[in-house]
Amino acid sequence: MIKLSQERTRRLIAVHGWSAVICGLFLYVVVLTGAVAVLVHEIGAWSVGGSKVAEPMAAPVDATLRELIETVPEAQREDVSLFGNAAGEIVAYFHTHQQNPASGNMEDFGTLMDIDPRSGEVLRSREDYGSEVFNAGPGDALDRFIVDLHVNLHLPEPWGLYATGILGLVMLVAAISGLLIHRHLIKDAFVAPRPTGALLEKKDRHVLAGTWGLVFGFVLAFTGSFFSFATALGLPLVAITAFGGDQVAALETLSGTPEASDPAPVPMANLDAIHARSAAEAGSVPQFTSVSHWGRADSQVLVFHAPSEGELTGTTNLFDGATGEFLGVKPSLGTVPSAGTVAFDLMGPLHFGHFAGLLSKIVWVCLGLAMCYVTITGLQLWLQRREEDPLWRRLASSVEVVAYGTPIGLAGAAHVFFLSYGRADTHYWVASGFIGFSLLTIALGLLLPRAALHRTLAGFLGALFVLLPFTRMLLGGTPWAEALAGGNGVVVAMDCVMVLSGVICCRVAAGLGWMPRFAALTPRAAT
Amino acid sequence: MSANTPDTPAGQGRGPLLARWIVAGPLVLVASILVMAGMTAWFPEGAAGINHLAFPILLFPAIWALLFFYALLDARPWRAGAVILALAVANGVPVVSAVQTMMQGAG
Repeated sequence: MIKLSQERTRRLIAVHGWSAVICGLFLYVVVLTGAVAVLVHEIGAWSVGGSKVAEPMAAPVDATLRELIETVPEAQREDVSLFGNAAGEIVAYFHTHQQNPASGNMEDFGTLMDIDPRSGEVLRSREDYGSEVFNAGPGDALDRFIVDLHVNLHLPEPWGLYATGILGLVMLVAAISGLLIHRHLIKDAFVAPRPTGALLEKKDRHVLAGTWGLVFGFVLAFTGSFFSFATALGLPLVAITAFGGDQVAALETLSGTPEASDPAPVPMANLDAIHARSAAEAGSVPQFTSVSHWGRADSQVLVFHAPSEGELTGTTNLFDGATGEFLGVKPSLGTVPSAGTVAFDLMGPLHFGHFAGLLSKIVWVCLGLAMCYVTITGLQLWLQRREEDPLWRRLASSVEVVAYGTPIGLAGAAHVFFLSYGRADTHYWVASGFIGFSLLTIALGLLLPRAALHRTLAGFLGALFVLLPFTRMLLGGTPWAEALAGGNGVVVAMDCVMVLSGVICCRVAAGLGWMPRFAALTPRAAT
Repeated sequence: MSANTPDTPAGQGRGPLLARWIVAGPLVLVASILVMAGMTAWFPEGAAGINHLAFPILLFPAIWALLFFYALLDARPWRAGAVILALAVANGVPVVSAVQTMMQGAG
């Protein structure tokens, strides 16, 4: 319990309320898409009907790479990046470093190939800068759209990152001011909603969800604004002060790139042997491999691993590219462990919630959705007190439209993805689908009376969710039996999540509450 | 948002309210950016030689939040403004010096 003077409490309440009113709807979009993006790998696998192999990076890749590197221009044979995509393909990016005329920044430039891990066949190939080439395949459209909406609201760089960074700071203000305002934090965590009046009940639910999500909201806001501002603002500024504006030098110091250079040509060590040794050291299959100076005496191989059992953060192993010798564990920043590395390493797991596999991801999704609920109920409370004013009344309709419009847009985009997958440019059609379904929701918001809006939009969203698995399978998506036989239970699980979400929305639309009530157990029934 | 009170604090004139807006808004934003950039000059480098680069970037949201709530909760907005301005100037010196060196190098 924090005691503050009446004057200070008044100021905090004003800041808590006004910051949410001004930025609440944008914040809701960012938090909702963030909650969905926690499952981005699962959504990616579901959208393309599952993974070809369970662990593409565990497949032998050395011989294929040696063949393929001979096919790319010599300038692009400097570095190679390797990772597995959601479809279970190996993605190899042969690249060099050059200035991107569009952004003026030094970037990776080269040829990216999607490779079938079973046959070594190149499925797709494209040449571009690093900022453009990744996640640009037809199967990446849905998950990339969701991530970009969360990360930069699809605004151009760096404005999108500034916008989401500011929204992160607004969320930080809301979380800290919420903590300071709540005089009875423990009591608030166990408050039971009272069915005596709509406003009281809504306030109780807002306080209850807000109290439980307070720490999570703080963590999310802090790490989120860090990720937004780190590259858009922090790195350029730090580079100016410490490196005379040289961002590449700043990055090399942070990443601990060795300065010694030896361009003498030397045959590369076997990558499959390096992967096997790295997997034995880390206790997990490699997630990402970066080869610098391919075929040179100073070549180094970095192999990144997801957190192993009982660990919060992942591991990066360093190998000599020429000899294949294991050089040790490489800290994510610098060359030796430091406090800065530990703090930096914690940012990812805390923001993405991937430190304990699917379980922690589900917890993160639920807490993220609770934050969305807090944002929307907070706005509704603010507007309910001002419903006499026509201007505030109009904003109340906007809250309903955005609250339902964002998931409607996302579900609609998923339908359009399945319609266009393998038939047209999925990236274009996913974006068009989101815009189209959002405009449809806005039109419904303008045409329908407020009393009917809530139920209509909930029903519309429910129908879109329920129909998603059918659209997926009818348009050639992997059937359940085939998915289960191929070890792609995630496809079936995501279909079930869609149907369940749809049923919940349909119940809300029918005025039944989001889940069945067991009369004997509810306080309403007891009184 | 559990407000049941007016939006504008009662018993407070327009002057102090405007001062608080200026201090907690643009001044805090500029100060926190300068503190982040200036920290590279005085923050310990650590064993890996990267702490003075990593921590300013990592702590930027915390620096901003700390200064914002100080500006919001201090009884006298002008006093908070003076403290934050002093912090901004002290950290801005190495930033200005670096920019000048960069400009001379470019020229």
